[in-house]
Order: sequence, then structure tokens, then C-alpha cells
Amino acid sequence: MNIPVADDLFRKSRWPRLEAKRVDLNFREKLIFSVICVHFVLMTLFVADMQQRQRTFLLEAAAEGALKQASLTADAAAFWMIADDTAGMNALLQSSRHNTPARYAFIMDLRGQVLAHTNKEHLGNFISDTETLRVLQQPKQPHVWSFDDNLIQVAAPVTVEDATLGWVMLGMGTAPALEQLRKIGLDGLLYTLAAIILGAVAAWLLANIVLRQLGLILQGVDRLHNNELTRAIPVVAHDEIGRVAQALNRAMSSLRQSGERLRREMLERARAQQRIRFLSRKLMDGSEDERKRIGHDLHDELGQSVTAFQFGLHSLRDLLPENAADARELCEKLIGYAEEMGDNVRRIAANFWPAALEHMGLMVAGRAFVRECAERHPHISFSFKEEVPEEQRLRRMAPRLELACYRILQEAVTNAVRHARAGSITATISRREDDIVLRVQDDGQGFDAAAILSQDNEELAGIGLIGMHERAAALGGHLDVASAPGAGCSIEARFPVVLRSQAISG
Amino acid sequence: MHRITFVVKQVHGPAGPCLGPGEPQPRRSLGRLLRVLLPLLALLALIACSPEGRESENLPSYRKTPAIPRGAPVYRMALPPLANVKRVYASHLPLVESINARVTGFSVRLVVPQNYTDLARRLQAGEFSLALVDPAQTTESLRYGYRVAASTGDGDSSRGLIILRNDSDIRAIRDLEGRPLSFPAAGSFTSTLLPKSFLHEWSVDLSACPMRYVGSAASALMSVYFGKTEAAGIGLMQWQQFTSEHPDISSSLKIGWVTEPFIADALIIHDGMPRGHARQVTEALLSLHEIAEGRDALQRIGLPRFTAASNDEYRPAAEFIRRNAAVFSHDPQPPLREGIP
Repeated sequence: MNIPVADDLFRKSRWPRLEAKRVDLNFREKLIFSVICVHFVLMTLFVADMQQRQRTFLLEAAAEGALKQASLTADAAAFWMIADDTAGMNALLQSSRHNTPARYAFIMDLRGQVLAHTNKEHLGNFISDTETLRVLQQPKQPHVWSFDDNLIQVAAPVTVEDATLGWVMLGMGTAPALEQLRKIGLDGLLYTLAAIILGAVAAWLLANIVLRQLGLILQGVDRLHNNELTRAIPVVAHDEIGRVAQALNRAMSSLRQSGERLRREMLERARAQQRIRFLSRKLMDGSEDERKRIGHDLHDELGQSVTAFQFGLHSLRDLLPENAADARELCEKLIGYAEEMGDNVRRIAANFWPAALEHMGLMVAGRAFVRECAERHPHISFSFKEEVPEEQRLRRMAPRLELACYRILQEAVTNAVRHARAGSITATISRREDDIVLRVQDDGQGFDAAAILSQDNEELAGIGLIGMHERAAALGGHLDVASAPGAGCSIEARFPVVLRSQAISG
Repeated sequence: MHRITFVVKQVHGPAGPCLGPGEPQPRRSLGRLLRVLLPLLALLALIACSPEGRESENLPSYRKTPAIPRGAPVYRMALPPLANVKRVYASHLPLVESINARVTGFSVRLVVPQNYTDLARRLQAGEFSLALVDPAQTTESLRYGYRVAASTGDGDSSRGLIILRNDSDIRAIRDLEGRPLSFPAAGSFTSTLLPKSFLHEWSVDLSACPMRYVGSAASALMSVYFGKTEAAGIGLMQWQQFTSEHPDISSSLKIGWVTEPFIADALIIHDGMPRGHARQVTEALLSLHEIAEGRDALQRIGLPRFTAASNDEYRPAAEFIRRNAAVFSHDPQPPLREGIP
């Protein structure tokens, strides 16, 4: 039974597109890629969030610093504005510019006239853009009046008590903050790189640790596959995978013990089977010897007696007068009985020991047997086929082999005649260089071979099939029975060829 | 059809070990790793390196003429830096606002120079249309196109004081001889010139006294408080203001001597100011005490009222300075020049 593995399930899944895009990764790659991806995603989120926070913080700090600087400048400028000292105001802006990297700074009065400016070109000019002039209408407190990604512009009123003398305007570039932000981003990139590299190295080490034990387990499984159960799997990890290795070692140990036990039992069984087969062969040999002796006795003694009796009856008939018709008829009847008895004795003797087999070989004996069966059972169509290469025809096989083939032929044909209700029976003997195949096929009613040959039907199986099998097995061959109810039966016996010359020399 | 064989065949499992030829062979992971890593790092670099900021287009713009139409003329009114200029400015701001409320066609803006030298220089240059100055500065300014329009009173409050520490060992005025003295400024009339004249009259050899001009009345008093000088010269009004603002410090100080009263401060007007505007300012000042707002403004600077005055009323001041010129010549920078009218 094929157990569907994950790949099979995957292929049969509802998402064929996924199958097309599937990438085969080994465990190490999966682990490393997973760690890299997790580090990348988390660190990217962290860096992005940190950058956003830092951006907000830095820009707010820059704005706050600008407001503070503008307020301080406004406080200091009050003295100069009170004194109406534009030179003092310009000196103040120049000095404050050293402390703060302002893009520009200027002091304007309430009419929008520039009293002091970091760029002397604008001294005495008037503010012309409405955006800046709107500052004059704003509440008298420091505030950010313009803010973009590049420039933070703040205004701080120059006041004395409740009186407003003018405004200090300060434009602070965000470049330093953005530069700092870029450095933070680069730092974040380096940290992310470091995290990815460290994570990948850690994942690689972890994968090596895990895979080392897995590799050892895999080698152990390979050894298990090859029935090499003597070497235990080295346990190098004291974790779940190590426990798997230990469990596998225990299983291998149990398997080894079971295997050894099984081998012992099989050995004993094989020995017992060998003994049984030896005894069976001895029994068959004894039986064949006995059949041979009986066949010889029947043929030589009873057959001679019957022949002598037959001759006596012929003599007696010839001695009877011509008018003793009744006696002569009786003699004739007895002569017929004697002839029939002689035929029966020869047939029985041949059954016990086919003299043709001994003298003429398997093919002749087999054909004679089939012919005899055909004579005795004319309602069944018999055929005998021999497929023997020309060069093999004169080479006799070992007597034991010929006998086994003949007996199997006898048993198979007899069974078919008796039980199969066959219309035709075909016996084929095919001989090749190395083996010989005997096949008996009929078109009878057939039988459930599995049921017949099961353990529960040993008696039904009869001695016939078992005997045929034993005869085949005793000579290193095998028997193949194929049948089903209504489908006839085919019995095939295959033997390795042993020539008579080899048997004699052996 | 069932087929039964009696031959036991060797049953083979899948050929080969568990890692058979069908299994994926180990691959070179480095290339695959780089293929994944490089795009990730490029993306990360893009995230990390934000674009540089561009030049803002929202900068202020300028032009030569005012966007807000130029209004009525503004005249600057100068005050001497008697104390912290902010405080001087704040205390005199109601006065200017009251003037502006009562004049038409122009306005007055208050200016407090950072020091006496700057005040004198700018008075000499005629930068201020109006000035509220002491008698010495008044007499000096008369030479540069100014004239006296009003006086701050009868001069009773125009007294100089010599301040000592409570624990001072000075018992007699002559004990001050050789001791360091602090003054707000060399040219301050009530704070410097009157006390020096007083000391001279009491036979204190000022040439033996180290003089320290520290910029303001409060600083002169703090010098005494910290023991840097033994005594400080200061005007009566400045002392009163200091004691109200710093009662804890002033409680450690005491008045050693008080000079006789002299001429009060004067409002001087430059000749460059149109006469009509000058008249409006003078009239506004002289009538300030008649309205509540004006009285509040006068009270903030410690004056009861302004009275009408002329250049002639300040000739005694010029005489006083000429008479004590030798005494004042001990100053490193004599505040007044020869030939004061």
C-alpha cells in the first residue's frame, strides 16, 4: 500500500499555482532563510519606527532649539532695540549665528523693516511676503510660523514688559537633523545587517547541531534498511532529536533481538523442513522402491502366472472336444478374463513402475501415459506436447528427475480426470538447456486455489498437490498452481535440469 | 485468477539507502542565500538612506519699500541708562504712551542707550529729537542744537547720596579717603557729580580714592554690598527705586551722607523737530498731571509733574560743573568738555 507523503498531498492540493512556485529548500536553508526573513522584517520595522520617532524627535528638538535660540536672541535684542542700536543688533545676530547654524536670522520692527540680518544685503529692507508679515499679527510669543522638511522658521517677539518692539526671525535648516537621521538609518542598517548575519550564523550552527544528529539517525535508518542492526546510532544531542535517536536505538536493539530470534526459529524451521523433506524424500524413495518392487512382482510374477494361466486355458480349449461347445465357450470366456486380467496386471504394474520411463525416458513414458488415459477416457480430449530442442532429445535426464516429472504428470492428469470435469487436458513438457517445465492445463471447473491450499483446507488440498510440491521441492524445483472457479486449472512444475550422466557421476 | 506459488522470493524494499537517487541532492546554499539577501539589503538601504533635503522655497522675501505704508513721523526720545535699560524703558513707557495719546500727526518712541557715553555721543550727533536728561547732560546738549522745554520739578529730589554698608567702619566722611568708591557712570549728575562735589567740600582727597564706574546705580550699590567698594554715590530716586526692588540687600546698606538738592532733570528738544510737534509734546508733558493716566505715568517715574523751563534755568548747573572741573577731572574720562555755556 502506498502511503501518500506530504509531497503527494501537496501535489493534490487545491492550489496548483503554489506547486508551480514551490521552492525545494533543505532544512538548513529553511532555517537560515526563516531567521533572515524574521530578522529582516523585525529589524526593518524597528529601524523604520525608530527613524520615524527619531525624525519627529529631532525635528521637534530642532524646532524647540530654534525657538529657544530665537527667544534668547529676542531677550538680548531688547537691550539693543531699546537703545535703537542696529549695529548692536547686527553684532548680536552675528555672534548668535556662531552658536546656532541658522540658515538666516533677522530682527524686524513692527513695520516689517529689517533692522539687523545675518545677510547684510537685506539690512534696511522691508519684508514683502505676506507669510512673514503675518507674524506681526500673531500673538506676542515665540512660535513656529513655517515648518517643512527642509526649514524650520520661528519668530520670537522682542518685548519689554507688555510692549513689543519687534520680532526676531530665525530660519533653522533641518539638514543637521536629517544628517543625524541618515546616520541613525545607517546605524540601523548596520545593526540589521549584524542581526541578520548573527542570526544566520546562529541558524547555521543550530541547523548543523540538529542536522548532525539527524544525519546520524538517517545513517542509522539506512543501516536499518540494510538490516545492519549491530551498530547503534551515536547520540550526540541531548534533546528531543537525541531522544528520537535513543528510541530508534532501542527499537533497533529490539529488532535485532527479534531478528536473531526469528533467524534462530527460521533456522530451526529450515532444519526441520530439511529433515521433513529428507524424510519425505526417503519416504517417496521407499515408496517408489516399493512400487517398483510391486510393479516388478506384478509384472514378473503375477503377469507370468496370468500368462501361464492364459496359455493353460488356450491349451484346455484346444483339448476340449468339438461337441463340448459349452465347455469351449466357457474356456473362451475364461481366456478373455485372463487376457483382461493380464492387461490389468500390466497396467497396474506400469502404474506402480512404468517400465517405459526406465527404458525409454520421460517423453515416451509421458506420451504413453497420456495415450493410455485417452483410451480409458474417450470423452476427454487429451493432448501431449513436447518442446525439446533437437540437441537435447537424446540426452536423458537423471532418473530421479524423470520420475518426479512423470509422477507429477500422473497426479495432475489423474486429478483433472477425476475432479475437474474437464473437456480437454493438455500436457506439455518443455526442456531447455538449464531447466525443464512440465505444464498440465485443463478447461475444467477449476477451484479456489487459495482456499483449497489454505491451512484450514489441508485435508481438502489432499496429498496430491502437497505431494507434487514436495516432489518438486525435493529436486530444487517449484510448483505453481493457478486456478479459479470456472476458469480451469494450470499446474506448472519447473526443475533445474540434471542429466543422467551428471547424476551417475555425482 | 488466483495464482499461488510455492517459491519464497527475496522481498526487496526500495532500492538503495534512504537517501536514494530520487532525493534532492545537497545544493550550494550560498548563491541562494545571496539571491535572497541582496534584494533585502538593497531594500533596507533604501529605507535607511532618506533623500537629502532640498532648498526650502518658503524663505522670507524683501524689498526696498515697506509693505505697510509709512505712517506719521516717529520721534525718538532718549533716556539716560540710570539703571537696567529694560527697567528704565518699562518705567518710562507709560509716559511716552501718554504723550502719544495726547499728540497728533506724529508719535514718540522711547530710546534708552546702553551707556552714558553712547547717550552723549548720540546727543551730540543729534540722533534724538527728545531727551529726558540730568542737568549736566542738559548743559552739554545745549551746545548741539537742543533746548530746554520742561523740567521734572523743583529739584528737591535731585540729591546725591553716599551709601555705606551697615557694618562699615567708616565713621566720619574723611574716613572715605583712600577707600574705593563706586558710581553708576562718570557723567551722572546726581549719582556721581553731586557726591564727588560733596566729598571734595568735606576735604576728601578724591585723587586718593579708586573710582569704579559700574554702569548703573544698582551695580554701584551691589559693589558696596559685596565689599568691592567702601561706598557708592547714587541719586535719591535711584536709591528709593533700589530699596523697593531689593529690600533684602538694601537692608544691609545705609545712607552715609546726603547732598544738598540741585536742579532737576530737563526735557530737551532738538531744533530739528518741527516747532508744532515740539509744542504739542511740551504741552502734553506739562498737563500730564491733570489727568489720571498722566499721573500714573508720572508716579511710575517718581515725578509729581513737569514744569515749564528754559535754557537759562540750567546755567547754574553749567557753573557748578565748571567750578568743580578740577574735582571731576580725577575721572578717567571726564564727562564734560571745556567751554560749557
